[in-house]
Amino acid sequence: MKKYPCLLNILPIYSANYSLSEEEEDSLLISSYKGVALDEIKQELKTILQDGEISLVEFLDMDGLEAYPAEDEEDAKNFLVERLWCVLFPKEAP
Amino acid sequence: MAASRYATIQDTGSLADIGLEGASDTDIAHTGTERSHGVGNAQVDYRQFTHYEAGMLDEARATINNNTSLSPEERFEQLNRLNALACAEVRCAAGVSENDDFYDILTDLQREGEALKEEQGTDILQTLAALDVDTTYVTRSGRSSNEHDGFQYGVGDATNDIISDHEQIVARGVQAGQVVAGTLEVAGATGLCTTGVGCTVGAALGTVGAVTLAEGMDGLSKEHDYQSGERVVDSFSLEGHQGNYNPTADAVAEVLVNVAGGAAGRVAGRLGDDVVEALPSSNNPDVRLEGNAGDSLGARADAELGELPERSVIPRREPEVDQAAKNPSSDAEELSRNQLYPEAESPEINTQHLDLVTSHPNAHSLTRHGGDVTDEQLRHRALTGEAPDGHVKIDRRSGRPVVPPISSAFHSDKLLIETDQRIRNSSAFKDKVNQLPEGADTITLGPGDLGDLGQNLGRGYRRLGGSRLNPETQGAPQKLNNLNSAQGTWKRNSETGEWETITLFPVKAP
Repeated sequence: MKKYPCLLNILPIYSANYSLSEEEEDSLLISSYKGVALDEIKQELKTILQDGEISLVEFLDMDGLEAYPAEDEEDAKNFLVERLWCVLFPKEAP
Repeated sequence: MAASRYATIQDTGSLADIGLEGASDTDIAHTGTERSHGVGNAQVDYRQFTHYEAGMLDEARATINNNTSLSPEERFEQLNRLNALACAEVRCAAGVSENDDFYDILTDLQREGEALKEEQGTDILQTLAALDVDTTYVTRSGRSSNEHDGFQYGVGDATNDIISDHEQIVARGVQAGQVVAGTLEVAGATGLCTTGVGCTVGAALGTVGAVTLAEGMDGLSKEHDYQSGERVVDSFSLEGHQGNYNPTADAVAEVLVNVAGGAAGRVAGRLGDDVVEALPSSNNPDVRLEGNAGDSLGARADAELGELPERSVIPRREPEVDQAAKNPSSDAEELSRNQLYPEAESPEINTQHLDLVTSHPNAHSLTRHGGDVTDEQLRHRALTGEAPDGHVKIDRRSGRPVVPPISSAFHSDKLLIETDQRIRNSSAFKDKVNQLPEGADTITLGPGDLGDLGQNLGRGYRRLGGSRLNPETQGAPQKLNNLNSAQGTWKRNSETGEWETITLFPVKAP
């Protein structure tokens, strides 16, 4: 299974345990990745959205931390696109 | 001492069953000791507080210390009352020798607690309940689990206290056994089962089985250092807790090693005589109880082998030699007071460390997970999603409040800040920082990275039910005690270079 260190590092901020507003989440995400790091998280997002071996629902559950409690794989994929990709790369299609 | 060995012992019935025929004498001896620990731990708790009980007392102290309506004097009074009642409940001084440096302190504390119980008709369980501390704990046996009450005192306690109270005699017997050659059938050792401790030894011999070891001769001439008082004092708080202690099991295992491996019967007999001589008079209800229960103890221990409490897997470490404890002086008293009131002695918070958890614009650790957060606020959050500072995360699609999986808080602000510092200084934190790609400046660490931090950091409530959007259908949330790990996120300030804490909250270690 592939590893996604950038995603695993940032996804917890979306948990209700962190209780950040969407604006705070967006701001934190944008400010956390620049330069090489931005390229890396972009590549991770592209890869995971194509990754047929991984359960995105489980990935977003994060051992119960619940970055996002997706209803199904499609819901999980939509979350990654809308809440991460579109925020970081608003002018590009994933 | 590996925890896996405990697991092996928990699941099996005899030495042969666990495949130790080919193991070295030392291995077998260690296993015997560990198994005896398992037997003892499965019976009852000891005169020192168990790991769970220490956690309950820590939680109560945090509640008292965080009660801003109390004056410092009232706070101290409540802390003292808590310690005294806890001590009285398990008779914490009963296992301490009169020669022990802590004997007077613990005896006074126990008497004070007994007086409180008699005069005010209260006890530690009522006191903890009033402070909203859960006094139950769960043991596991295979797939089933059982709930128990803390602060109980029973047959095994009486035995442990008799041995512990006469530590020197037992130790001398063990040392003597180590230098006598010969062989004694294990069955012969059951001859010790005439009364009191001897019976316990005999019963447990049958339980543990035959092992061999010859350990050396130097112990005979060595003066014995008492440990019990220090261990009891340490056990009042998780901060100093040395792990669970079972002197009966230790004595049994060591005698067993000598008796079966090379000690002559007369040595075992002499040990038995010594111990019996040391017993209190036969009208002591504890001793009568032990005498009556002796024959059944082995069977009872066997029956309970499968129910090893979770706490017994905590590694038992040897106490460090403490000069203040070894040399009776006012230092010893000061040391014990510091250990009994760890929170009350050092309330100061380092302001620089405080700044690190409050300076980021999104920082909310103290307001949502700090020492001022009450259990009621945590319960409310677990039911409604509303954080203690009034913040509610709204689901973007449904527009409904999102209920977090866990609502937790540290016992105090100081503990939160200390934990933040511990994490910053840990190799896990440094590794995460080193692994960041260039241009990234946020790191997250969770229980998977940090593991058990070895401390009761806080408590909380777990949301029941699977839906985060329908809190009203989820019923009462589940209380989580003794949270011993943490989850947090830190962001580097590009101007100062400091890592600022966005959030940090206690969670259970995996």
